[in-house]
Amino acid sequence: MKIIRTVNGDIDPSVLGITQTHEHLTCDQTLGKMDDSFPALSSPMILKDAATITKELQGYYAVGGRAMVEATVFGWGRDVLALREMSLSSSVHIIASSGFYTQEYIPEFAYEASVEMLAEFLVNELTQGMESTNIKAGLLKSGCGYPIIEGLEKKCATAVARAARITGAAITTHSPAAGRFETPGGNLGYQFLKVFEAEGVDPSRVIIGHADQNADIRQLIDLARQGAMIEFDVIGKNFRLLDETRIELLTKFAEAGYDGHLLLSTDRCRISESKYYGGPGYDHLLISFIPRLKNNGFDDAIIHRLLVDNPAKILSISM
Amino acid sequence: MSVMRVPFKMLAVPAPPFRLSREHTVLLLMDFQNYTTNRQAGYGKLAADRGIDREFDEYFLQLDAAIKNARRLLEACRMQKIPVIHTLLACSNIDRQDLSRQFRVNEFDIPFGDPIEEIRHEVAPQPGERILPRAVYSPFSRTDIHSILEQMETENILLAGMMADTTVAMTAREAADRDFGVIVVMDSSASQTHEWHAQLRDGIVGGLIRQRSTSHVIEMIRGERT
Repeated sequence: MKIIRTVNGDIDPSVLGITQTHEHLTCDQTLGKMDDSFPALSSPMILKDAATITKELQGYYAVGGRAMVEATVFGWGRDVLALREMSLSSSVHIIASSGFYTQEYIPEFAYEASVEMLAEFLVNELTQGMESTNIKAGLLKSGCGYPIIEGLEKKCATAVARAARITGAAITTHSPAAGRFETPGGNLGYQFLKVFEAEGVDPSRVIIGHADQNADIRQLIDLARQGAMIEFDVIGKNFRLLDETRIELLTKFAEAGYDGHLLLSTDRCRISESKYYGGPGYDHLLISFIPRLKNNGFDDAIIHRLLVDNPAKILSISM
Repeated sequence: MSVMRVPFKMLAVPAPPFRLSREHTVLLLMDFQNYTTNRQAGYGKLAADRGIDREFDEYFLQLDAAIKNARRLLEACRMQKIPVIHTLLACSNIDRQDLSRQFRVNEFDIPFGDPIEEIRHEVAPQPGERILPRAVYSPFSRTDIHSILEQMETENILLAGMMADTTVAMTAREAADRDFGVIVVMDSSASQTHEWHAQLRDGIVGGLIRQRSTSHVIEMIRGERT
């Protein structure tokens, strides 16, 4: 039996529906152990306005969105009670994440803890509940802030892999935008797979996130060939890559026969990105990007695969 | 802050990670000096004379932090026996004949005098550390820095400086074009505005040039991080 674990309980994968697999609904970048001696050069990633975000989610539901992966982990402003409320108010299934983000946000206890202890913490979040609630995570996340996975981040990535193997949950990954010119294809896909495979995780249970910030179609196809899911999750952020380019890359990817390895999302993480504040909103993918994909030859069956089948497959956990 | 797309940069295959060793790494500090960091002198005075000193608030805010960070970086390098080179804007004679044409027509009255007196005390050179005065933006155009670096068998340069969007950007690119790996230490540097510093951070990276924070570089030179 397979289930998808949402903040309001387990659901059958067949009812998941259209899903964006990498978004944020509550987060607070200022919680990190940042060196703040130098003036900030960009606005921090903060989402605390639950009322506004709930309205955005209702708008997402209105255009067909039925589920969303919330990729904020402990230490970065995750608020699981707020997620449950948002889900109830919007009817959008929310899949919360356990795991570890980049070094600045890794909780203090992780510095001294063993891999086993960290894995136990993660397994508990997936099977018992997060932050003293009975709300369970449905996905694991592994982040790295620099172009090489090493030190504490490697220890945490190893713990994530171990928890994935124990629970059967999939892993989504974060590669740093700042390091995108120091890694092949702009992501840490090869390094993540190496760490995870050493722990016995099947690549088919791994999402290579932020694959569209310095993309190389050859590398992405190679990762998919190894079994990984490739996630275009900064769609609409045209300062990294034009959406037109994303469409061309996705077309090549599908033509190579790997449309079963694609996930789509927009990675909203600032209130200024909400429609209420004049931003593109969570529904940019559904109301702007998908119609353009269709105009470029993606038929309904492939769109369904990208938005429904592939998310359901990767988010499913065998019980 | 706006970030611009960089399609040309995307074509480049990433260079392998830098391994910083004390034998092959040099710290290059640029223009930590009175002329560039004092509101009552140099750029600061020129701005005040023109009535636009407020325009430099972000620069001076950055440089206050950058000088503290550069001092930390300098101390860490000295601890690890990594050689240090100081370069500063300074004319070699009182009639300023060596001023670049740009500086001359721009009426930037680059100082003349004892470089030691001109350099900020927080990062004052120690005996044995080279000082390279110059009256141009890049030390590669009119100093012996290239041959000095070659003689020192330098592979990687840690680079920080003032008015970084001009001087550090230019020097980093010239150094990389001369086959040196360059790490621009962003929070030990200051640019004319926050937006320009963000552009430097996002725009300078690529090829043999990387950007890191002071804390990260200190971990690298201690061998705690790649």
